[in-house]
Amino acid sequence: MAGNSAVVLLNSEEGRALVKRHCREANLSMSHLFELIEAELEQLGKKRKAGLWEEFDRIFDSLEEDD
Amino acid sequence: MYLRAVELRDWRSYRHARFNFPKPENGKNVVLVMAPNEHGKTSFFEAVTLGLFGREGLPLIPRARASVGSGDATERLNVSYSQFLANALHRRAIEAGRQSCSVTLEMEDDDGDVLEISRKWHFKADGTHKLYDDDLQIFEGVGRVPVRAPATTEDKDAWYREFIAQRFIPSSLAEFFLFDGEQVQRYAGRDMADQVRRGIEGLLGLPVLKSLRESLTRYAQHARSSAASPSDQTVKAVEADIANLELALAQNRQKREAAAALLPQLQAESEQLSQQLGGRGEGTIAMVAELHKDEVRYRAEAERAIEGLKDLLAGDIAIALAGNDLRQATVDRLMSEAARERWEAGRNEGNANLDRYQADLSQRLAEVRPELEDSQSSGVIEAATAAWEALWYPPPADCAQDYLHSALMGTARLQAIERLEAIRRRSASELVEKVERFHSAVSTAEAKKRERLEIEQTAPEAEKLSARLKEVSEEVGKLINQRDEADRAITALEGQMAAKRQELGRHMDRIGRGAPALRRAQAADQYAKVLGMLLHDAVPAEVSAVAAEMTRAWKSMAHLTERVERIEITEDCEVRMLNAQGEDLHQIEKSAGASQVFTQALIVAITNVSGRAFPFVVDTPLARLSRDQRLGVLRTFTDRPGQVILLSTDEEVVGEKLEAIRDRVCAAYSLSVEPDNGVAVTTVQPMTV
Repeated sequence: MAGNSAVVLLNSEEGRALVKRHCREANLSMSHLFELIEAELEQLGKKRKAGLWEEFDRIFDSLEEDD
Repeated sequence: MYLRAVELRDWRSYRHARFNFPKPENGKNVVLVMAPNEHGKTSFFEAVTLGLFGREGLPLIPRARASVGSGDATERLNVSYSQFLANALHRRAIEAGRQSCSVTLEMEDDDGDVLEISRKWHFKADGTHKLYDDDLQIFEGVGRVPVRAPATTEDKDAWYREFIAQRFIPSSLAEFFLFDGEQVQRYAGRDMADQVRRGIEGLLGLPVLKSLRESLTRYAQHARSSAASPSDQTVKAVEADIANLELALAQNRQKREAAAALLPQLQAESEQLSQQLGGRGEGTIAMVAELHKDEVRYRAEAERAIEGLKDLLAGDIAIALAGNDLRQATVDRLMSEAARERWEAGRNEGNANLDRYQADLSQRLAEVRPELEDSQSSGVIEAATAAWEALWYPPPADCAQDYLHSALMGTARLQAIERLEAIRRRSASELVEKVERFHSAVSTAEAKKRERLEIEQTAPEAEKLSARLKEVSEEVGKLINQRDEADRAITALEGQMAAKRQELGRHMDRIGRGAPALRRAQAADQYAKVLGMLLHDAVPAEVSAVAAEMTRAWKSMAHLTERVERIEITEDCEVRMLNAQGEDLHQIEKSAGASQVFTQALIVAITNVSGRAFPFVVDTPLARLSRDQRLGVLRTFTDRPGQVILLSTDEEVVGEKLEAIRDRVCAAYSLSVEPDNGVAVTTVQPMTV
């Protein structure tokens, strides 16, 4: 899963279990959460987060398709 | 892992410099780089940071953040990457034909494997950074095998970022390994619980999740506003308006129908009543009064007619009865007597002048020449007198010989003549006319009376009919108003209804069009909520470990620590300084130095808990610390197995402070600046400490 190492929480079993539990309770997809994290990581160091919302559009539209 | 070498080419004031650092071992893990301010220490620090992380390292650079702020990497950047790099290229590079600068970091991990990361930045001839031309090269092993993302990797930047985070350190944790003393000062100014929370969040890489949550929240707001769809309340309000209009329409239609149902019957009754009343209807009493007045008037006229007749009878009837012949003979006689009166008046007036005439004639005759004889004069006078009298005699033929009516002289005679003439002009018809007038007036008066009596007999019934007609007329009026008002209201309401239906249609269209954006916004909100819960729940898991490490670090850095047995951190990151009895000694001394010590202890704790063996690179570590604090901080920083690179001014790690760590120093460098036609050039020299 891309971006794991940047988010140390996701490197440990306990951290991943926590994420899994919260996603399950909210009926959300973990993989899409990681995609969102990756999109945010792409923006690190930018003064303005250009392109981020287009990426969010793509990810959320794919939620519809997966449903 | 330690930093084996750092090579800078055309980086800021460094035309070319290579730092070689020995492996930390045998208790010697400290590298000192000493120089006065403005000699390149911070440029070295920035080179290591950007060399490792590229653009992602910019938030770790204090100079790239807002000028006044919290001091941590979550502050907004005040420059873009290219803007920051605009000053990175050495000032003589371009004129020397070099339009790039580079930083190369050689790391050696605990297994002895070498990793080299090299970044190169390219610039235009005017010094503008070419953003998309940055080069990143990673080499592994002694043979310098290039590390490349697999060909199938779509997002190569993400792959390299992941690689660096795994093999070196995640950027979110880097601020605890790469920092400057002034940054620590700013950080130390914050609330302890806040610092601890942020420290643990950094340890866990949570800043990215916080940033993502904020991005999702803003995205959701933007998606909702760009959908520009009406809220549920708006739609419900329009639907409620339509329902109200439908109700109002139904009510008005009912009113109209009710009026229309009752009107024909009432109008028919009104017609019938009007016919019954014969137009009298209202005002029967007034009519009776009017008839009575008429009756009185006609009776008065009859009275006048009788009086006139009486006057006629009492006045001239006797003379009238004398007959026309006698009246005419009387008039003729009076006329002749009037003529005689006029003849006598003339004669008498003439006779009054005869004597004067005779005297005058006599005198004139006396003057005639030849003189006349007395008999002649007398004869003339007698002849003149006779001629004079012949003027009057005989009297006119129409003169009366004498007066029969001597009492009627002058004006009286004339009035008598006029009266007789008037009586002559009156005819029998005048009498008849007066009689007829009398009868007519009486007859009319009687008719008025009969009419009045007839009405008075039927008045009560007429009054009832009249009252009923009034009621019916009013009711008809009200119903007509009701019907007409309902008609107008229905027309207006139907217009409003059409407009509201159109409005609802537009809203539904917009909802339809905005649906995808709203769905995205909803999804974004859901993920933002999950992130919030993660952020809340992730921190408490680390507090015990951080608290234990903080206790060790703080007790070694701070002074007057005897009273504090341990530092405890609650799940809400509240810091408690507990004595041996577990009593909270509340907050530590609030001096700037003590706050910094606390912050630096937190930094040490985070780095220890992270388990990462990454070098410490600290720029100007001892600002605003007391002597004892400086010693404590230095010892604690350096008292670790990993490499520590201290970038110190020439007044910081000197004297007793240097002595405190001298036996841990494995290498030392000094930086000096030489001017090159106004351009500062930094050179590096090894030094002995």
